[in-house]
This record gives sequence, structure tokens and C-alpha cells, in this order.
Amino acid sequence: MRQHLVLGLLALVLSATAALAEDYVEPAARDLPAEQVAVLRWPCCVTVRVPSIDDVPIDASGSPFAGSGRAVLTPGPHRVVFEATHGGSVAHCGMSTTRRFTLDLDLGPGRSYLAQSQKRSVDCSVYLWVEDEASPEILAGEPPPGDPGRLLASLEARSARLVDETFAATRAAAEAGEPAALLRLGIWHLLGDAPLAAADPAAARSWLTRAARAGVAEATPLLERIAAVDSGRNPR
Amino acid sequence: MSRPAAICALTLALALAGCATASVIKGPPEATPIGSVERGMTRAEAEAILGRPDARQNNVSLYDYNLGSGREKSGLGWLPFMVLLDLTSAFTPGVGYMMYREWRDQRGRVGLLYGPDDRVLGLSFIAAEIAYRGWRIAADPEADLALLCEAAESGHGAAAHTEAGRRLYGVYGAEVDVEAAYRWALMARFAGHPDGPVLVERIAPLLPADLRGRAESRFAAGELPPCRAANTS
Repeated sequence: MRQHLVLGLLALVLSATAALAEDYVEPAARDLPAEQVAVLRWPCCVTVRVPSIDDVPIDASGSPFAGSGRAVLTPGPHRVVFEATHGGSVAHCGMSTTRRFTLDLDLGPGRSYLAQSQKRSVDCSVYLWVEDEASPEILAGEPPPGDPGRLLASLEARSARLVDETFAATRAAAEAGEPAALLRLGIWHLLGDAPLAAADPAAARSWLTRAARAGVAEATPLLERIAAVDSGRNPR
Repeated sequence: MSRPAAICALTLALALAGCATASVIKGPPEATPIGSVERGMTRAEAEAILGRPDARQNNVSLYDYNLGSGREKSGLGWLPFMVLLDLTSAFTPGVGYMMYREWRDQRGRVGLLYGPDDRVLGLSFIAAEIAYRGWRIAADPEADLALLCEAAESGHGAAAHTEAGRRLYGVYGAEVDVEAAYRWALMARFAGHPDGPVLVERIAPLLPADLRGRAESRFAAGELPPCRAANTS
């Protein structure tokens, strides 16, 4: 009981000091506008601490950033060390369970990420993961098992983002006349893969015609097969 | 009834309910033998292991199963504990939540994919989804066809739809095979892909009636065309 009281008081003190701490702003991100930087947040410092970001001490003694729970970083790869501590299940897991995680994060511009942690009392495992605050995408780490819905939602969000990015990049390259992109976009429309809702042979024909004109050898026989199917003939 | 008698009756009722509630929440300590569910099993065989599905959509059935806490919590010795736990949880929401968390932590959920003959095609909808989405974002879709085939052969609707188009037009290293394309389109429709019926209608006129009928019979018997073997490159 007394230990819980001490922990509660510690949480209050840390919350108060967090208000005084300074956010860590990576030097290269200082002059960038908000849409070109990434923000990383964590529930500092009772549950999650960040000992370092790219070897810069954050929640460490003497660091001016200790207790802020927020970092402003340049987009791209960063190595972040997290430390998660949980109480509860005293008889089974001891007074507290702490685990250290080193995650390589690939941050996107204009995005905000939140590190979260949970303990599984069945086997005292500690989980930590970083998720995008604007979508259910889990950027790195691992949430506790037993919730496939959450993993699927993350997968959906990530794959939707990557597919949209790949489709946009392919389309941009095709519009610029790049032969391989013309072929790929044509097949994309032909098979009706996401982000498209259904197959669209007419659009496929249009892109493949441009691919054939750009000298892509595979485009011509493919156009012949599309014509055969459209006229009700076996394309073989 | 006097006030003390009512309080005694209420306490006794809560205590008795506690034994039942706590026993149900703790669940069986042994894990469901999920590893013994195999591809090709009938629905009845799979459900003899996993129990009835909690939800069903198109060809995917979702099952809750027990991960197993490994800790025995039954027998008369646990009776006072169960009573105490339930009485406490009745007046302390936090204890009830802890019990719920423990129960949730030992539960798992799996989505099995079934074929038209009601046999297990895929052991995990999420795994099939991961494979399919992984293929869609591959830098070279032809080099990573194994991902598409894994998803399609597991009964994933969108993957089956793509495989039908691939076999119809002979793209990404596939040989043109209209009969195989038709069976994959039937699979896409069976799995609830929104463009599946359109694709079936597009391919059906390309096949003579006897071939079409044979393809439909083979599909109904759960015979899907091989995906990986169709790759020529």
C-alpha cells in the first residue's frame, strides 16, 4: 500500500517536472516547417522512458529533455531506445517489470507517432509499440498478442498507405512516359488490384497502347489478348 | 424479509454467483490444440477442435480459442478464493477489470478460410491478407508471385480475383488458361470479392458449355487450379 502511494506520488512529481522539461528538437529539424518534421511522443516517464534517440540522451539524468515526452525529428530512419516499466500482479511478477527496446523507426514527414506499452499479466511480458496517431498503423514494435483485429487494422493502414504511394509513384512515372511504369499501370488496371476497386480493361488498353508505342515488347501481345477477350474469343 | 436477512441473502447469492462467474472467466487451463487444425480438414473436423465460429463472413469463419493459462483454478480448494474474488469484484470495478484482462489475455482468435466443398483452405485470414498485401506492394510483382499464390491458394478473395485475371490474360509469367481463370474467378466470387461476379460473366462466354460445366463441377468439389505451377518464368 505504502509502495503504491510512493509510486503515485512519484507519478505526480514526474508529471510536474515534465511540464518544465524541454522538447528534444533534432538540430537538422529546427528550421523545418511542421509539415516537414515528424513528432514522436511517449507517456513519460512512469510507464515509458526514452533513454536515447540516435545516441542523444533524452530521459537521462542531467539531460534538459528528461521528462518532456516529446521529440521533434527529421523524417527518415532513427534509432530510439525505449524503457517500459509496469507494476501490478505483484505476487506473480514482482513489484515492477522493466524491459528495454531498441527500435529502428522510419518516420514520415508531417506525421505524429505515439509510443505505447502494456504488460501481459499471464506471463509478465512487457510489450512496446509505436503507432501513427492519425491511423491505426503500428510503425514498429509489438503490441500484446490476442488482438488480431488491431494487427489487421495496422496492416490495412500500412498496406493501404504503401499501395497508394506505389500506385501514385507508378502513375507519375507512367504519365512521364517511363515504359516499365506504363506496362505496370496497364496490368494494374487489367487485374483491378487495389487501390482500384475493379478490373478496367479499357483503361488497361489505353496505358498498354502507350507502353507498346514506347517500345515495351510485352505490351503488344497483351493488347491482342485483351481484344480477344473483349470480342468473346479465347485469348490463347 | 428483515434487513439483515436481505443482506445475508444478497451476499450468499453473490457468493454462489461468484463460483460460477469466476470459473467461467478463468476458463479451462489447457490450451485449445490449434496446431492440429490442418488444411484439407472438413468444417466438422475443424469445429470439433475449435468449437462453433463466433462470426462468419463469406468463406471466412472466426473462432475464439483458449491459449491456456497453464494454471489450474478448479477444485474445492479454490472455492473460498472464487467467492472472495467475486464478492470483491462486485464492489470494486478494478478487480472485475483485472479478471477481464486475465481472461482476455488467454484468449486467441483465428479466421479459417473455407473452400466451396467446406474444407479448410487457409489456416489464417490475417496471414493470407499479409501475403496478398505484401505482393501488392512488391517492387517486382513477378518475382514475388509466391506471396500472391500463398494468398490465393488459402482462399483469399482478392488474391483469387488477381490470379483469375493473371491466367486469363497471361500476365506476370502465367500461361493463358481460360478454364483455370474461370475456376479462380468462381473462387473470387465465392469469397465475396465485389468484382468476382463481373469477372465470372466476362470469362464464362469464352468457354464451351461442356468445359464450363466441368470447371464448375471441379470447383464445387474444391479443386482449385495450381497457382505456383502455372508460372512459366
